[in-house]
Amino acid sequence: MNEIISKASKENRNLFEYESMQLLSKYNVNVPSYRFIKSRSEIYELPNDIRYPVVLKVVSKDILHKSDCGGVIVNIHSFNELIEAYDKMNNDFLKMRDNAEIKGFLISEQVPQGAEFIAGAIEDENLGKALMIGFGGIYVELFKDVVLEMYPISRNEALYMVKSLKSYKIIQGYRGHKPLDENKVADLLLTINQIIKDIPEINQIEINPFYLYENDLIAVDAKIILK
Amino acid sequence: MVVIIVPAAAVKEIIIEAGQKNAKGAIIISGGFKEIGNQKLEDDLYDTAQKLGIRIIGPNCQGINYRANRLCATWPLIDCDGKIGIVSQSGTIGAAIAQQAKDENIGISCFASLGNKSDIDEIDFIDFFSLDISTKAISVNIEGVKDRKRFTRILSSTAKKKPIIILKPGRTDAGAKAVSSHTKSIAGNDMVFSVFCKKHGIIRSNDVTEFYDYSKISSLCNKPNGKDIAIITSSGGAGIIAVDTAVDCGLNVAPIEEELDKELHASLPNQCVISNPLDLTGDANIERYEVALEKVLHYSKADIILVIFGDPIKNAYELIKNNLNNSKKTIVACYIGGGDIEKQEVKKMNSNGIPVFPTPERAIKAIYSLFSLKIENVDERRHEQI
Repeated sequence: MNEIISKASKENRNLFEYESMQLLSKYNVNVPSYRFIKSRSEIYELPNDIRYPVVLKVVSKDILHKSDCGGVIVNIHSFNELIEAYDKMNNDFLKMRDNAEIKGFLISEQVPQGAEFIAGAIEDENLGKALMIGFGGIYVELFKDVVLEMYPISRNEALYMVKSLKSYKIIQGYRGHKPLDENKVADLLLTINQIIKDIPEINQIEINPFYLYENDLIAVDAKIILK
Repeated sequence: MVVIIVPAAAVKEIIIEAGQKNAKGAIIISGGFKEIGNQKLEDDLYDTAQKLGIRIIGPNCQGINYRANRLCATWPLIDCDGKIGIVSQSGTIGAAIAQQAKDENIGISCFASLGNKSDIDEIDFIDFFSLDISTKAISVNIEGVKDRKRFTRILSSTAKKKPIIILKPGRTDAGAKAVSSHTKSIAGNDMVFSVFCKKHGIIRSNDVTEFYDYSKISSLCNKPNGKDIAIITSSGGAGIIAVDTAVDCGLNVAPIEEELDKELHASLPNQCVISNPLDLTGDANIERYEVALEKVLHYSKADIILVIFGDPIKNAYELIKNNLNNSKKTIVACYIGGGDIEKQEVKKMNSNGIPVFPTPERAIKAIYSLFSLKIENVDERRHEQI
């Protein structure tokens, strides 16, 4: 795990998405299964048991918000569609090669849609570290339904953060929907709490989105920004 | 101590002279240092003063006023003793609330404007105020801090002893968005600062009016025992604004208790609206308020009572004063729409340490700000005040 951090530090970059996922996975956070490829030919070498649908994502240290620039293609249902998606994305990014250095691509299991939330931590150079939970998805910056707490947090504080969200009603089961697993969200916050304790090199960590279900939680995308 | 107001180039010479006369401190009002890029001149000045054992406030500051020593080396002249200790990076913002405190006759214990903070900074003052017996509430206007570890340490330890009210501008975070995560752009430094304040029991204010109101109330009141509020008013309009603000803040405007309802019906005229808010209506006089307040104090479970005088009502001051110290409830007054009588009554209230505000929303927000406090040993503080 420290290898990931020290490698990224040495290369003077933040973590790639698959490295962030690897790190979360080591902390027992559920993540979709994924495979990192560097070339088109590697798609042909993928094992037969790969489960569709999948998502194709670009991997580049220069691109922080992938979906804003066509770096994410979802709903890929077959091998042929995957090749097609690869060619399109590769061509698009070849055209703008001057702007972004492409490391490769990530083929990731497309997990069932759940309620989208965001969780993270941030370090302020004057005040210290804080943890965050928020209502996620594409409207995250619009609604700004977020709750912060200073690091470190206890389990009670983690639960209190979740309960303080305006969108907590969604977790409780809004308008006929079944309640979602708030304990899993508290677990995730405590895991982030542990990660920033263990790895002081981290300046920001963001899991956005994670999908919350009735009995489960999956971190769909993650960014880890180093100091 | 020496107060220096000469052109920047001549300040060092004065410091050396002051050193020869064994001065221990210098307030340097003069500008023309770091703030216009003359870092070297400022560093040189600091080094010179250090060697001579002289501590510096400033340069480029508006000086200090410390009431306990009757020292006013600043402007405007604030000569009204109070309990609020103000330390401000901006001379104007600090002076503005000091002036309000003088105009309202509640006064200040100290006003310090720091300017460039070459030596003494707000942390030194917060540390000083924490031990200063004339200061009950510490009001800090801050833009940035030099020493994070010391800042957080002194702030968190002081906030356990005395209320700290902070006005820190910079809520709108315009820069650095493109190279940052969503976390950074939605949960920027300002939100981190808010939760830092929450964690340590520091009151955060967002504008100059809040800064003054929160400073005022926390120099006079303890944190209420709970969030249930009862509102007594002679103005239905002011009452409903109080209710709206209270609900927005998260205070609990509970329906009136059965027993209280009975008591009030038996003792108040028919035109009164017996509810929460309790509307004594526009023809209310002080006797009607007296009855209402007595019943509410006795029968209501509310932790906070807001008494709104919405008409020219004489002897409002005496009513509040006589009940203030006999109750564990937090009693706050609002006087509005009362003409010349209002002015007289409010002046008496302010001069005698009774929390009174000019609008219902300011009163409610001020009350609510007290819930940020985490001061231990509240009873001791109450005792100290009386």
